[in-house]
Amino acid sequence: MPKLLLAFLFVALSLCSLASAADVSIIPGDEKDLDKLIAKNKGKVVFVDYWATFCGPCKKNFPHTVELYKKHKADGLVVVSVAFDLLEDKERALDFLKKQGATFDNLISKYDGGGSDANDAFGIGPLPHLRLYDRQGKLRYKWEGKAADLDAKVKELLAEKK
Amino acid sequence: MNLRLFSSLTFALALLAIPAPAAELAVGAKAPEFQGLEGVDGKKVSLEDFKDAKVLIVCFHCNECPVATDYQGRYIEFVKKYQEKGVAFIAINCDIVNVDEENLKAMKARAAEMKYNFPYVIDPTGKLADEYTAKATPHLFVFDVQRKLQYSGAFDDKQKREKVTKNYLADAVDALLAGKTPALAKTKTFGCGIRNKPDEP
Repeated sequence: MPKLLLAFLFVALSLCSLASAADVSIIPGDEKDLDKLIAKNKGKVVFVDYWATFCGPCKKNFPHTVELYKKHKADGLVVVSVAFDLLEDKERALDFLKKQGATFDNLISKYDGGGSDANDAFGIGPLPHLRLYDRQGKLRYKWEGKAADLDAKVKELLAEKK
Repeated sequence: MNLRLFSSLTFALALLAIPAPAAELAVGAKAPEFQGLEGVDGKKVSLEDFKDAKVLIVCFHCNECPVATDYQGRYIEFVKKYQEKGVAFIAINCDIVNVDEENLKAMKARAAEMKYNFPYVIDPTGKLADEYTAKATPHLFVFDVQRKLQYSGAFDDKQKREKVTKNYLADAVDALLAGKTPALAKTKTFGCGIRNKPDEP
């Protein structure tokens, strides 16, 4: 009997992870696509996480991004991730996102890896880079590297009226 | 001279004397010192070893960053071309947190495999990255004959070699060799953060 139960639990758990993995996708996008996503979510707070699979600190921060999303989704937090891996490494980026349970919009930069074009287009420099847009779609906060007060700023913007 | 004018001028001068927070190594700043850094050839390297170089390039590099490894071939070609013009190039690894992959043995293997034609040294404390305000690998700093910073940033404008349109490093070095100031003093880097602090992500 216990063996059957274990088998059932195993199958159930596998199905659960399959389900969340299926909710995770990544599409190529540029800064205009990102702007459209931000505009589309007016009324909500948008948190953008710029990362890459070759960015160690980015990967270490990512679980916190997912955690923030789960915690504040109902309050109106939207998350968008933008990966700067080479386009040929898209699957590697997707694999990471699936393992993280990144069930939000995920873009991979159309600019195909690192470059001044990608930096200038997205207005960023070295990764990690994080941004918060308020409910009016206005950029309010950005961080390069560490974001010690991220949670506080998320709560601050969520508390603002639409 | 009236007292008010004198006070204002003194105050203004005092403000200029206050050093700004070291967010970035400024153009004109002297190259931070380094001494006795062990290289892949077993030799110890110091800043003053390059005193005869017309131009010195300090390149923050490491073994495992895919962006840094994409640039290896470009570094080799650059050194081949510019060495005889009195340009020195040193690659420094400050990624000391990942001891399994970023250690002298691994660096030696990589330098041998890729046939590096420049010194590749390890900074055991990783502190040089902070002193130079290096943001990522790759991050290059170009110093003139007086060892004053004249350019910092990326080697060129694209990780993918076939898509490169601007050769930032070559342009800066060419200008300096011609006795001119580089047109572009700074560009943004792209690459992997330097992991020199064990307690940080």
